[in-house]
Amino acid sequence: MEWLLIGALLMAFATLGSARLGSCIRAVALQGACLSLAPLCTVGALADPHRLFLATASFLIKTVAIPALLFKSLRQAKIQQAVAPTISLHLSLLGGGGLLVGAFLAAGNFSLPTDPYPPLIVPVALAIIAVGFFLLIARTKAITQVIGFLVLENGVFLFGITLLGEFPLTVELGVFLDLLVGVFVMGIMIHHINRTFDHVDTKALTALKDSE
Amino acid sequence: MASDPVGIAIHCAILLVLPPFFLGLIAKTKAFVAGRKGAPLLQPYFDLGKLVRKGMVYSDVASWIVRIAPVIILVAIVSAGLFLPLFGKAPIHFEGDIILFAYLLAVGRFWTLLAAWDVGSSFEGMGASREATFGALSELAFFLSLIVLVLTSHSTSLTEVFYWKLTHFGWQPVFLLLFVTLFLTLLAENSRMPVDDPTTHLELTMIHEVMILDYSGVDLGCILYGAGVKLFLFMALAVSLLWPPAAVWSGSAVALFFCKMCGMAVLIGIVESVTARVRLVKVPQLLIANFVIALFALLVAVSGRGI
Amino acid sequence: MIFLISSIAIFLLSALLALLFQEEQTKKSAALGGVMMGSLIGLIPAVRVLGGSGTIEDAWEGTLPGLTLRIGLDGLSAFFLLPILGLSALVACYAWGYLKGQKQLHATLPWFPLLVASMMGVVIAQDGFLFLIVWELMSLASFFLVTAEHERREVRHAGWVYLAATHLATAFLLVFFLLCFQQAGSFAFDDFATVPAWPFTGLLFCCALIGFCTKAGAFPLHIWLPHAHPAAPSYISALMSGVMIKTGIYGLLRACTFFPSPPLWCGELLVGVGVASAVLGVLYALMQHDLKKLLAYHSVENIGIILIGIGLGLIGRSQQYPLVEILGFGGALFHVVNHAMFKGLLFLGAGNILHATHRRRLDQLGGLIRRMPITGVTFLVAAAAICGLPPFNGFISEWLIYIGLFEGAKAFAQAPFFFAVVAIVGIAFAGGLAVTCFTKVVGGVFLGSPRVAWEQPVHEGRWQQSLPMGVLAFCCLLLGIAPQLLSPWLMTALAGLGVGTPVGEMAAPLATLWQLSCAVAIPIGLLAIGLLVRYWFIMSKRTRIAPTWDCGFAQPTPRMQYTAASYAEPLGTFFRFLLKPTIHFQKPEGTFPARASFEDHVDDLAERTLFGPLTQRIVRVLTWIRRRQRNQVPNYLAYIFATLLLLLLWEVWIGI
Repeated sequence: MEWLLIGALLMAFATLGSARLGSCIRAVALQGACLSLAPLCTVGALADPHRLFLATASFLIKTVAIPALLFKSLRQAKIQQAVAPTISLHLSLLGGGGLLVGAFLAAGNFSLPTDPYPPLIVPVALAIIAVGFFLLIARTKAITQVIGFLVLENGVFLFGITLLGEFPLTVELGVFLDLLVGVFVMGIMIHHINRTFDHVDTKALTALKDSE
Repeated sequence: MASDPVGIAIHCAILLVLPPFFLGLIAKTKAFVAGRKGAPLLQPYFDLGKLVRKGMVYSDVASWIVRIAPVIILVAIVSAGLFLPLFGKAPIHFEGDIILFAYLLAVGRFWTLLAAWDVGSSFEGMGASREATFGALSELAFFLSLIVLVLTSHSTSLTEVFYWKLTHFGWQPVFLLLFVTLFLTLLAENSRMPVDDPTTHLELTMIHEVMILDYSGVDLGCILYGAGVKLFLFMALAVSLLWPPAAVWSGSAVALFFCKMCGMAVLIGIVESVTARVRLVKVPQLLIANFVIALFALLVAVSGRGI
Repeated sequence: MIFLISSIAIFLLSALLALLFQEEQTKKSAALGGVMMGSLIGLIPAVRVLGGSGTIEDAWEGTLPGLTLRIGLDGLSAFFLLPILGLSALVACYAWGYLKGQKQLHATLPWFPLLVASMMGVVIAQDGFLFLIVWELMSLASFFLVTAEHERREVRHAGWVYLAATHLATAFLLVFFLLCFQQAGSFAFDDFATVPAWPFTGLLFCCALIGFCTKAGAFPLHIWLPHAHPAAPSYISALMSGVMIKTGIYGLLRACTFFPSPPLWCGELLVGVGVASAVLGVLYALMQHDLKKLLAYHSVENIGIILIGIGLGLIGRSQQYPLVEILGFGGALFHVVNHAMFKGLLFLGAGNILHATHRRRLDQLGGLIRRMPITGVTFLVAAAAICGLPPFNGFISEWLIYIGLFEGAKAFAQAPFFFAVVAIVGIAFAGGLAVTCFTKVVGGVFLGSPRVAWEQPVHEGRWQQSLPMGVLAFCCLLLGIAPQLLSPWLMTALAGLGVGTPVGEMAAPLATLWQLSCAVAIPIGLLAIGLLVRYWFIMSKRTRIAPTWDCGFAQPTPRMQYTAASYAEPLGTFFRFLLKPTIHFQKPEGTFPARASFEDHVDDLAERTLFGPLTQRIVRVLTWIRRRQRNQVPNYLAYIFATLLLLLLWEVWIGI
């Protein structure tokens, strides 16, 4: 279980540190795989239909469907592979390290019942959310925005599964709602932006503001 | 401070004799993966023997620094090896030797850099500049991993650290993360593949090889041998994380150590075969990523007791 | 006591004599001879106190009521007196050779004994009033010594920056001592220490911190250091960087003895300031092109390491963890002595280089180790020592601090743990950068071949210059191999700090100093064997001398060597978000490029973002005021009267 959490966090850093979109998407897919396997790693999980369902569904969506979609849009939109960071990659990594420390410090103040998951889950979830936000802020391309959003959403998912015991249905609904709203809308957005402006750089959106 | 004399003698003998063998093993692995036959396993020994028999050429610019540097580098690295437990207690161990270990390696680097300056060549200066930069950055991750070791084992002696590891045997996530960190540090510090290409001699991107362009004969032998010992030390350090050395030495412990190191050498060979060298400007990023992994290991190690 | 008084009397007398004599040789003999004699006499009581003969104290009733001037020597004072007087004597010897043929420097010679006397006064003063007087005297004496070559513009500028900074320090110290006086009812340090409960410790601590750290040169109050050290004559830089900035450290430690139980955040703040100083100091040092400016920034780094030690000691004290306290304070004190040795040595070496070549820019030097062998070897020793490499003394003090930090990291939780880890990584990173920086200096200055042709033959300094450098280099090695020699004295100094004598388990790290010394001796033995073996190997071999391998280029010139600037460039590029270098780059153009140039320099972070804007605002306000006044005598009198009135009212209503 701890291995999966560590893998998920390392993948978050991989998205921060990689210079190419393809590897970013692969990292997010792997992260999704780690996370969706997480609910299965508890005692008696295989007999619990909620957990089984959650794991299968999120695996299909996070690891198979969304990355495939992203790769498809990558191909269709003929987006260049470079990620175009506004904050250089090594600074992003250092910033990620800072967020990590912050997440662990903050997690010390939470006293969430994480049972049956290891207590590591709280700081890891916080760190993944923070890294997701960082990605949203520090990258300009629309597709990296989607990736950032996915990372963020993965963090929320991780938080969510700790609550699975008490509110199974809410968590599942929440997961799906997030997915729908986040990914598909953003996916449509990418195509839309691309068709209209011939590139997918959100920097260009600032040109839409009122002229002074 | 000292353990039994036979153990010390064997430790020193292995430290002095074995390192070139693993260089050969790595080269052999790489050749095998590439589908070649490769040089014999003992090729590094033959090379050293050849170099020792050769005469020497010194640059007319060089001072005495370049003449004594190889010996100093070699001695610093070998004496660092006296503090590292290989298959039993280290010959010398006391509280705080972990820092002496790290700083003796730094002595080696200091003199490598100075000797590179000494011949007044623009190539060697360039190599030295890169070595200095990457060395300073990889220090970050290296010291963080030392902190993790000290924190988990409550001791600042390498021997005690790994003795603790032996009594608390298990593949906790922390140690795997540390292994990854130390493995990357190993590759960076020893100029292995993703950072530097140890097989080239005249490329503008090389690091270690370019600093030693002006050595010849015994001095070059010293440097190459020292580089082998340094790689050996890092390999032993990294492998001990996954599989700590025995508490007291014995014949089987030595054999086990040899097998572990062979496995490590094969691993390095495979990693080197399947990775391409990253662009020089990307190396700092790799080292910073390594630092973040070490940081993560630290946080995981202490998250149990509350930061 | 008689030795102390006579030592100070000798200093004052020699200053007076040097002022009276006009003839150069006698002036020099009076000043430098006086410093050497006075220092040697002053060392006697210091050694005796450290040897455990008990503290010395004396007091005079002043003419003002309630004011007694106290001087005395306890363990802490004696420990600081050691480097101050020792280095002063050696620097005086060096100056004897250095000053030959440097007429313009003779005029400021009377200030030299005065500076030494006032530094001595600072550490032996046992009450706040006397402390402030000698502190101010020390600032003034060093100001005049810094501005010795006042015909140069940048020297005058440096002098003003230094004067402003040092007065800022004094202002905060004035507040500090007045607040202490208000609580204790007397200026005596002994009375401060017996105050049962201090109100507003935070304010007091911050005042002391700003005051003393400005003198010591901790980030971000270090801005005077990189200006003053290059401007001052080298022997003065050696004295100022080696020991004068340590009086700031002494003050900080003395202030720590007033507060038996400091709050936790004080230690944490010190560790934070220390880490910032250590890392940023060495980063800025790395980017400097001027030898003495680079060394000045390295003082910032080393002060940072000392502050980390002190902060660790304070954390240990507030967490009731004596082992950490001993290691922190002990490492800091040890580093004070060490830094005096190697930094003094480095500046003396820089003096020799400057004297011989008239150049300070690293990119214009090279190949000096062949022409100046003694300077080269001693400089190399000092460089290795300052990087903290075994077997030199810098390693020992860093080792003590490291062990203390590791102990702290093991024992503490929450914030202190965090600071301990940050400090370990900070020192390690600073150490790695220092290796880069000093290979750059030694490589650029001493190795390779000269990058420009010298105007005159370059030669080694006189024997008076070489002797103290040899002594210092020897001390660096001695303390590195046998650190246990210093540990009894260190114990006395720690006792003076209020740290108990460690027994049992607590004594373990200091007892392992002999283990460390054995462990350091082994590589040296191995080195001897290795060199013999190498000699045996090459005995029968043919050795040739050939040009440096240049990859087939036909006509190598010394100008094609790698320069110090390009050596540091990768790290500078990596940290450009912090350093913000200004780059002037003219690319080579056309088929036959005629000229190309690259130049970069970095502005200090503190100067750029803190003091620059601050002084601008202040100047704006002052200009506004100046425009509004009419420059008439009655107005000034009115100001004075108003101030006096205000002070009177203050005294009547509030009290001091």
